[in-house]
Amino acid sequence: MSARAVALLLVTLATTAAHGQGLNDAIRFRWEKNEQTGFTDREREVERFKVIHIDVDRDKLSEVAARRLNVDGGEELTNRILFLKEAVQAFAQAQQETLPLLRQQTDALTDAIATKNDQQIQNARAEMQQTAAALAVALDPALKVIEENRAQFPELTARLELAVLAEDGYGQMAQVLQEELDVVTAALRAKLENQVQLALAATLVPPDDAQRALALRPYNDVEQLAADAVASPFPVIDDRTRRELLAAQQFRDVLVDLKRVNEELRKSLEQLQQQLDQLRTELQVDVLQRNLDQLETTVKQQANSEPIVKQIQATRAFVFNLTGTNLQLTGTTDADRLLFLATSLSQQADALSSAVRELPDALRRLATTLENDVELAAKQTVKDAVTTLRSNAQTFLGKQEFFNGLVKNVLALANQFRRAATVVRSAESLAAAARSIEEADLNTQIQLARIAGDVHVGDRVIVDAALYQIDPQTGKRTTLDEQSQKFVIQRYGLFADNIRGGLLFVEPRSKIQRDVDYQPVPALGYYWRAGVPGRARLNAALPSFGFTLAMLDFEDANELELGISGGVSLFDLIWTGYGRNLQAKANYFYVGMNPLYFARFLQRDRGE
Amino acid sequence: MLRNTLILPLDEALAAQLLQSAVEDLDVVLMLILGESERVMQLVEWADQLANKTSTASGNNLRRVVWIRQPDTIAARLAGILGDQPLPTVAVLNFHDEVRERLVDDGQNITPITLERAFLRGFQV
Repeated sequence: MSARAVALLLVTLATTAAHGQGLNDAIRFRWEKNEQTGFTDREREVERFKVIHIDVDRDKLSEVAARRLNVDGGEELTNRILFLKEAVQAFAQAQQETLPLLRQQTDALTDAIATKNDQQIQNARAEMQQTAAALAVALDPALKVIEENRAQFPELTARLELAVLAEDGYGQMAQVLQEELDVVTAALRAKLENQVQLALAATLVPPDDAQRALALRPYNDVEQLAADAVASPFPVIDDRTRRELLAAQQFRDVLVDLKRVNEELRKSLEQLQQQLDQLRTELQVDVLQRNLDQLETTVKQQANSEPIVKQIQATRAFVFNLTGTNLQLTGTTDADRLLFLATSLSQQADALSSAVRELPDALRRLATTLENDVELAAKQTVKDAVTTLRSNAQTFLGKQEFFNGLVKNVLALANQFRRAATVVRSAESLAAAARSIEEADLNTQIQLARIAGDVHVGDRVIVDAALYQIDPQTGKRTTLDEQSQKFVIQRYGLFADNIRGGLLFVEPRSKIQRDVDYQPVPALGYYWRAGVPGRARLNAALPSFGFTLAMLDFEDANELELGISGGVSLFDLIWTGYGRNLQAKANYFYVGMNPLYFARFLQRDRGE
Repeated sequence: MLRNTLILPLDEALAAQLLQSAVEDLDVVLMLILGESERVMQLVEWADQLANKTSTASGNNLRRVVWIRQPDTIAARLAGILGDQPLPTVAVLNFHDEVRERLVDDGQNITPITLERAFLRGFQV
């Protein structure tokens, strides 16, 4: 019997067989003592130094592809294959397990009858009948399908009818069905050859979204450690510590700058306003505007005046930008004022810049068109305006070192917020990992102990999978299915966390020389924490205990002031504790934060 | 050679007695095959082979075939077992002597698969 004939067999199963679920059917995760077939929205936890095995069922992938691509009837074909698999399993199980059990129970019943013990007989009979009924339930559906399709597929049916008569008939039927299944799946694979690809990618996602692709052979060649990393009993510094310290420094700089915002803004705005007023005076913009108003009135009385009127109006709009700009700083808090600076002032600056750029041309066009007294005035005005505006704009910008610095720091913070969020995990990078499903070994694994670089408890590992159809002519890739699975890295028991970078707000509790009020300082935190298996959320909420080191500035006389404090960290985010400035000999209290978690917290708060 | 088949004798009384005895055995599924044509002989041979599946090394078996070559001679007894309907070619009684399957042969419609399903029906209480 040909594979095609078998493929067409069991048509009636199309409505009865269970439908596959795409990649969910074909990929299985195994880690530690856990197994999961397919993908879920549920975040699974995995221990820091373990391995996540990803098993790929090539036959299932073929079936998924056949269904999506409608090969040999697509859905029907995959249902037939599914039937064959289930039938093979049912007959094999009957031969190997149920029948021997039934025979054993039959003999036991005979023995019980010999004892004439009614209760024993009743129990033995019930057990035997229960097993017999189970055998019937397991096999009848498959036998029904085979029988109903006898006329359509006589050759296969004849083989099955011969097989069923044998003493080990169920085993022989399983064998016949397995042979046909092999033929069908081989034929299907041949049809799908070079047309279907699978891509798998794994990404480590720390709280600051500094994502990194993880090694996943053979899907990528990302480097990994040559040997397994081992847990250190003491906190250690890594790249994450450095990033946290850098972010803490940037936060601190912004906070220090923010305290100066009011004063600096007022000073700069006054300067700018003076320059604008001077500019208006030099340009005589009020005179120019009146002239343009008069000109418009005059021109409108003439025939075909519309093009000229438009030019006059456009020119007047630019002049209005110069006369109408009055710089004001509004907002009740420093943050509000900063926001105003970033939005409203920026728009005004754009308008001024546009006026500087466009006004000369507008006036020139107008002057050329009219060829009257306005021309000379306009030319002179243009010359003066361009010179003055450029000069003043450069002067203004040159004086804005404070704001330039502030903007730079704010931008750096913003980058921490959205850093590399989509670069590593993208459709393009996933597609780059695609491999033909005919290739030798599609199984892979993520060796967490061999991840190069910083890996912390609470980091996420995201496994992305995609199944593609490849157009044989164009090579164009079409996505048939996409899935992803998230794992959260955990450690259990009491363990040393990596050294964390943080920003502390230090409040002296002893008399000191300087007036210090919650001084912001970057700090290093040495923390120990605990984890309970199966309680990832609880683990994230459990406090860490340890000590912090910070560079303080309580006194003018000391260049180096080192603060050591004991404290706790809550939710990886908030730090608090009490310590001592060793040089100033002063105690202090502090609250603080991990800047990367703080950034993530803000992102969540903003719904990102 | 039929190992799991009781061939009822042509003697009416003895046939009725043996049939009654077979039916009263609570611990077997009985497949009654009626007639003596070549086709029926084929069905008996298949049924006997299928019954081998449940045969134990000790000689016990849950499946048993009863070949009733001349059903007319024990029609009344058969009516008592199978009901008043026209006699089938094959009938299956479960452990509780309830009729679970009735097959009327048209010369082609009964196959080894059909008979195996019939035996399995007998396993269902």
